[in-house]
Amino acid sequence: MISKEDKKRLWVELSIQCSKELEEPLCDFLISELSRGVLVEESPDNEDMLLIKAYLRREDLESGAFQAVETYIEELCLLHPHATVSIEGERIIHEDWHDKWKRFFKPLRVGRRLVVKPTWEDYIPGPDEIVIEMDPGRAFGVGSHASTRLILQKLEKMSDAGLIKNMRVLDVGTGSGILAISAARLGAREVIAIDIDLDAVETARKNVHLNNVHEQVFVSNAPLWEIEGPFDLVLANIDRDSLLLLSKELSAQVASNGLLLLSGILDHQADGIEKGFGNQGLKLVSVVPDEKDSRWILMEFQQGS
Amino acid sequence: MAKKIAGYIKLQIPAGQASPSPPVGPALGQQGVNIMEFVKAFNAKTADQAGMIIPVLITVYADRSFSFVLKTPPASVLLKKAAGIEKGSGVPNRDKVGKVTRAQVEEIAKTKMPDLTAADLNAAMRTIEGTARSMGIEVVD
Repeated sequence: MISKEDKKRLWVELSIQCSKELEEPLCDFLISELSRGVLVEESPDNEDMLLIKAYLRREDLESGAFQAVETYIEELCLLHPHATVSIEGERIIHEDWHDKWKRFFKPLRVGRRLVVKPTWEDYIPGPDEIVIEMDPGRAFGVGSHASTRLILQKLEKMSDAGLIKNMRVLDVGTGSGILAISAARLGAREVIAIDIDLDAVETARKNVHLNNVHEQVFVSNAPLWEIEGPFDLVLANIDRDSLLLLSKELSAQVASNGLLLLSGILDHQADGIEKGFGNQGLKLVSVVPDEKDSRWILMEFQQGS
Repeated sequence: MAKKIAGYIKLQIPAGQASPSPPVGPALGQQGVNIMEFVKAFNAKTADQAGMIIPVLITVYADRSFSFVLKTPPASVLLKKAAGIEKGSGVPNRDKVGKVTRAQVEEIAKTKMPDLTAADLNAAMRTIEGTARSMGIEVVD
């Protein structure tokens, strides 16, 4: 039997075959009607045709969106008698795609010593290596993305210089918890990790336990301004717009002479971030491009004394 | 050395609004691409284009890493702008919801020429006019 919870996670995938010339109006209609994107594939049996896949939820079916799609397609047929457009099929899909990419997630060395390892893989660490166990669930952060890598490598360097030991750290938008856990493993005294996404909070908590750092790392979905600061080090790997929106609250959490590490930023966005956080009285100390994908940068700010 | 390509994924997504739900989740999960990494990268790159629909072509490599390119906005979006409407008609054969001039169609055709397979400007204009008709937008002189 399908539980109530499972029902929520069912989608109907609608495959619509159409002549290439109808791609744009059809996609436009589907995106406006369903308020979400579409997948465009070459038709497997006819190279002049496309297969457009649109996704509907149960609510969409109840609100008449399916009928609206059918009506639109009938109208397209009348307008373009020489073209082809038809609904090829419907398929129920379960929301299981989150797990599918996992089979490709392998242990990954991020810095000189840090290795991120999925829980389901085996890895024998070298004498100096620190292994971070991760089951990312639906949350962001397994160490392979430039924005995560940038902060992890910075944390490792700070740890090498003996800087992280005894620090109190705040990780904002923790996702899988990877940064918070790494900070703890590298010597931080206490780490508060927060996220507004409840899925992420649950995932991060699981990962904290997996890595045995539950005595140092506390995960919650409390809002940033309710967290009791200040912190020696504040980490935020989100995106430009969210960072700017939070610039005041983030800056307020940094202790005097403390550091703020911002990631999830593209190089052309650096000026805006510098200005936003400069306005809060923070000083830009360094901008580090990622070694593999230099479009992504890490920005390090310091609080005045 | 060039990386071995495992496949391509083409999506059309509203700017800044990619999420792990469909179409992104199933399409990328199937190919072994880390869904959240794409979501983060796409939204960062399209943050400045709110309200636009962005066609995106994702290249998936054999090691499951990926890269993507954003294409020019679809002609449908340019037509809606030119006609000053938010949405095309759901019944375009019956209800017309806006008008564009032939000069505007020509301008859009020129913008879109690089992405269209049309042989010349006239053919490109015919394609754009067809798209306008499919959206309930009339083309007037």
